[in-house]
Amino acid sequence: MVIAAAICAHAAPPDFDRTVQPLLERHCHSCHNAKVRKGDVDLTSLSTAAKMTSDTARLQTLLEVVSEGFMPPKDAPRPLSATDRKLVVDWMQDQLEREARSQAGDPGRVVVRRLTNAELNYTLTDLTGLTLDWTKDFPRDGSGGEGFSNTGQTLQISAGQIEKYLGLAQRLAASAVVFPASGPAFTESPAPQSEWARLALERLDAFCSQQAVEYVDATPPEQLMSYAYPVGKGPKLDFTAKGLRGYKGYSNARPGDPLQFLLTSHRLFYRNERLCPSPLTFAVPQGAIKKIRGREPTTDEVRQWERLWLDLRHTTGYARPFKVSLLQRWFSFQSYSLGDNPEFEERIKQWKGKPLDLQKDLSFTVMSLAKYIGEIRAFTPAELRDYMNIQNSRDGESTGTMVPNHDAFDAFLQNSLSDAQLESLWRMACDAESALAKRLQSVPPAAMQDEWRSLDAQQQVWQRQVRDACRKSLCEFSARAWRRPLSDTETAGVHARFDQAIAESQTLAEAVQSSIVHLFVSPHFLYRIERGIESAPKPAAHLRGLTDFELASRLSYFLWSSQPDTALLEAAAKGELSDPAKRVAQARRMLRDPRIRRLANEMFGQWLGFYRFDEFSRPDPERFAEFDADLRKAMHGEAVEFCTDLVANDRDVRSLLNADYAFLPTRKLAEHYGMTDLGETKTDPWTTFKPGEPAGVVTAPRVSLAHTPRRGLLGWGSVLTTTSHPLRTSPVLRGNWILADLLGIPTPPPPNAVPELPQDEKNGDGLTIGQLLARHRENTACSVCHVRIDPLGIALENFDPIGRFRTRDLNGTPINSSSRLVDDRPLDGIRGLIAYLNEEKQQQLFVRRLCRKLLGYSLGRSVLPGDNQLLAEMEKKLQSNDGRFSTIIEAIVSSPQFVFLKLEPAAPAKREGQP
Amino acid sequence: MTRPTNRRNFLRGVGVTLVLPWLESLATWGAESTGTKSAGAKAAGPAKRFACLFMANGVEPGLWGAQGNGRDMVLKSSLEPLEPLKEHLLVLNGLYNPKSLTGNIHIAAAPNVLSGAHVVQSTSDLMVGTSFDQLLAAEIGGQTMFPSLVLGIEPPTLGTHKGYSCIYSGPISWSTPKTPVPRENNPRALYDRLVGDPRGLRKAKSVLDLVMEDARGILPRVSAWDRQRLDEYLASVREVEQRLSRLPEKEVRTGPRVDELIQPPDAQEPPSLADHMRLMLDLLAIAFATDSTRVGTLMFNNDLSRMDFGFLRPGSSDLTNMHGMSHAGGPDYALMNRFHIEMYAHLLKRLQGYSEGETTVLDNSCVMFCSSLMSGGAHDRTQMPVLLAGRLGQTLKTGRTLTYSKAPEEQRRLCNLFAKLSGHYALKSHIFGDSAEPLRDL
Repeated sequence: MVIAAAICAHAAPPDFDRTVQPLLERHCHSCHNAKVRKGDVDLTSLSTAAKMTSDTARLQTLLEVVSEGFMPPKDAPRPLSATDRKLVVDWMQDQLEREARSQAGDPGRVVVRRLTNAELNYTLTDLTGLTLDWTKDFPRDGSGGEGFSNTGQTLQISAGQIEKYLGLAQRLAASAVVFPASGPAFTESPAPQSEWARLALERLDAFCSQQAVEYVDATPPEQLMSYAYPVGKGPKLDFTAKGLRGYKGYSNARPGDPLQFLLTSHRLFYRNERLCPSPLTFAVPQGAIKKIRGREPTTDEVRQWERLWLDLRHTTGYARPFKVSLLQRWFSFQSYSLGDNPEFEERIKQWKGKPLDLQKDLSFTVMSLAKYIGEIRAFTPAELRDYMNIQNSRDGESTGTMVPNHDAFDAFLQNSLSDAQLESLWRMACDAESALAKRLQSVPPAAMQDEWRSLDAQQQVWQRQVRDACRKSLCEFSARAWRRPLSDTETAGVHARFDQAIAESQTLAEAVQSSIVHLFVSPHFLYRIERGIESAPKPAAHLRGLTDFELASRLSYFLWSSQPDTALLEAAAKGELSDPAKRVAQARRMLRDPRIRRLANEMFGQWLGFYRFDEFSRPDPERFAEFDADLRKAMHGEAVEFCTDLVANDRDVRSLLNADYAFLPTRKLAEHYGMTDLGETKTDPWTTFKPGEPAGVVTAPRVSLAHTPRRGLLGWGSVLTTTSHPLRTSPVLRGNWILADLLGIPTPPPPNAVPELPQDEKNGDGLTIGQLLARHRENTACSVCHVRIDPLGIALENFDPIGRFRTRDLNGTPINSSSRLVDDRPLDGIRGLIAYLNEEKQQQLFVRRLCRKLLGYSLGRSVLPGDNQLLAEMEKKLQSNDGRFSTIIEAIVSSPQFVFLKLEPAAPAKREGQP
Repeated sequence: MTRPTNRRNFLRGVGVTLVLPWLESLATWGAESTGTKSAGAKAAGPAKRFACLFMANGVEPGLWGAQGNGRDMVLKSSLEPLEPLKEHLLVLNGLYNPKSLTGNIHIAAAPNVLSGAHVVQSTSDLMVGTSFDQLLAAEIGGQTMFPSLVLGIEPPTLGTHKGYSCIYSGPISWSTPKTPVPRENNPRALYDRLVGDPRGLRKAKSVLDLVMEDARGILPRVSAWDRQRLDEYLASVREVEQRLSRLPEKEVRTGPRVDELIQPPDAQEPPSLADHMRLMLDLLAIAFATDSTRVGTLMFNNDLSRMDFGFLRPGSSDLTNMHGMSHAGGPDYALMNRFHIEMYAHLLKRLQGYSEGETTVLDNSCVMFCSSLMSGGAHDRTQMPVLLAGRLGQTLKTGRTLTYSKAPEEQRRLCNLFAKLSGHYALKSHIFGDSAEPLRDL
């Protein structure tokens, strides 16, 4: 307001010593001296122009207080004449102007910023794909700067927090599923390693079905079958058209589609939620994708397929499934000779329904083998029961028929035996002198033994591949977590620590997991560290351009409160973000992404007071039982949705003050607002609601307020409730909020010994809150501010402490929401207030406030005099741009403040120890 | 690292259920284990503790205070809950914090109650002073698992207030003049910290080394402003590492542990304010009794708190906004004061319940209670409500009312109290903040 006006004033500014200082002495010093320090202000110590201008923030406040007429107060012994007031104001404006001009575009002091708890949550959500409240029991962040928790200077850290970060990192590491090639994936709670193979298979499966992959049909189906079943023992399958459908488990298979066959057939091995990956899965050779969606696969797609492939190979134990298959084939061939056991058959005949002593009866077909395995490893009765596959008749009696259950046996070999146990089993089978071989009276044929040996050789190759892939993916993941590529030293460090962990005989998974703990406690993750690059072009010697990756983080933490996404990182890698046009294009893209809700919640929420409103509990729960968790949540949603829509659909920022529509997440909230007529549409907007454009960003239906008195943010339940007391409205809180938070006009602190109004509307001695306030304003010490504050709040008296429209207060007295503004114009009710706020001056103040808030939030610091020029530009552009929100964002991301870093001054200002 | 049974392990057992005879010879063990010759080593006897409980927004002066000494001590109504404890009590009248007068009438008087420092008006560059509890933590905290516990009830207030960051309305504990210590508000999180996961911590050792290396790698390449933030990070990591080095190699069982003295609280904070406060105080008492820490602060409310005390008089509404009521003062506000004193008495009784040889934990502690203003209505900062309880191992003569109101200015300073206590805790320096001399008569 005032500054813009001053730009036009070209007259020579008044002289401080001759003109201004005498005026201050005469009109201000009697209260604002070292002794009285009224309102904490001592002007006598600011006796020279230099002292007066030494703190621009203070000067700005003084200017606002004098120009707005707060000071000197109306009852001051020596009122300041309009001419004199103008002299003081002009001088202050001129000083601020000079200061602002000399510092225009100065990036100011932007320090390394620790991620706020909210940013940490969002970052981890985007990194892991899990939406959890990771920082639930962390100490809450405070706020500073322009009133935001992301202010670098106020983001402290303590040992207690380090412990929390450590605990969180350990939790993350423990819940990391280590996929060597595609990097760690995270599950909500730690998944046992036995589950990893299933997860790997699902990922491969998902990739294949999403991409409609076609394979090179390298292996004839008959041969595939041979991996799963002994020759001649498998189900008889006709691989042409209808044959596949005949067998259960193949029901989903499309005839003649080898992929479908494979994917469906491996599902055969899910039994009782346990997985037994079959060699079938591996029968498709690596790199054998033929087509994806009917076209040639891209290099990226082939690479991704290969990664998933390698992951599966690792999680299932490399050649293990093949070895299991070999063992199984060999023993199944021999099962008839094993089954030749008259003693056991005798026992079965006697058994008939009696519980079988499984430990004693280890001697039939597979069970015979089990006996030999038993030399290696003890069994559980459940395992035995599975392999026996005793086929009971309907009445529960054994029919005496026992069929070796190949699948279950296969599952047992695969899941329950260690690698070493498998190896010794095979050695026993091949050693003609072993009891097992003697019982079988044969050893596997040479071809089979060769196959085993070649699998061993193959396994070593795979292991090397997997280990290399693991080091690589670990570096990729680190870069993702640290939001930038690793330096060569850092890469070497990751490799060295990984290799060392392996050398210390940690498993691959353990080695990766311990690296993950480090990643998340490192300052590279917890802080946004900006160093800039010297070589970048810069307007001044004390500046340094930010790197592209630093810009990516500035953009993403500004708009999404989170890490940059792949598109941003790719743009950064190509050096595109230092190009202002491309940076703006990225910002525009980001504004339409669902993650933009976070800007609505974090920036608008902290500014307008609805941050964490879903936890707000001030209203008295007995008097206002309606104010329950659902209502709170809906009111919170109302504000978030509105701001999200404003941002994502690039609306006029003034709609915050005058919109005749709202986004109401629930019908209950509409009813709370007394809206029985829901506007144009007769159909229920909640049942017919579909998230609109941009897709999925706004998640509540838009409802017209045309038939209600509510307009803009002053009608929000959250705003009306946070500015009330538990048992009554507070025109003072509401008015002060409008004045200070919406319009940015600071009010001096209340004088000492202020009488307090009663806390309950019902206890007001029969007087309304408005009447009590009127009495309050009779006190001149109070009236200076209250003549400005109260009318704005009184205009909202038609809304009760939880935001309902009302015509009578809690005493039953009719509401009088009219009063007079400080300039004596009448102001009546919310309509009057909305009209007043949409007058040019107030609109301008509001828009300035919004610009200031956004700038402070984007940089994580207080707004400085050097920002005034940018702020003025934003306002100007908004005017010629229908007030579109993106105008502000574009101005910010194009500003020097956003792309440069200020180096420390030659002599750092020593202000420590200042009294 | 191998070490003998240290005192921490020994003391851990000293609780309600188990009373071990005090062994003088053990008194120096704790000091040996950290290799520092400190207070505990020189003064044989149970460890000395310090706690400070803070209530925001001032008191109703007419109903606050006491007169007389010993059995004749008469407590005004706000202090009545301390009646059974008055032989352990020191009521200090007329002390004041000079720097509280050099800034905003409210917010510039609260974050400095334990430092006596000026509160710099800023929304970003916060600066007060290192608080007395954190100085103690730095000097004597090294002998326990936690140098100090900094606790609270309310989450930090967001935003700014009259040109001050609202962070100032938060912690009274500052580890450096620029670093407020975040408060633990959640009883379960506090419990989990106290019970601890030594295995997880031990595994973290190598991680801590790595991240310190990371931070040191960044330091030379950033501005002095950044360096300050990263130094804070390094100092915090180092503190965790030191704590880790104090973990015994093996569990040495000599008595009850934290988890044997109290059930794990619910993860959610208790819905009732009184329960929440009591639970936090119980855990603080247990932390003292098990010698998990010797220094603790707890803020009942943030400065300018609008905490709802309506439950103190159901059916009436006058107590629903603490700060609002503080302006009115009177018997209603005194009711809120009295409630906080009940909580204070609760802690004292808990500490009394834990024996240490012939004495109790309370006997070996100094538990302070204070508020930033003498009266909320007038924002009177010319004197401060201060209470002490506990004999601090025979160094404090309790059961007295000490009045400094008429003493010369330099004898009334709050920091004189901390200067005096510095001597009792055998700190290196016996000067603190703007102290002119150790507080007389104490």
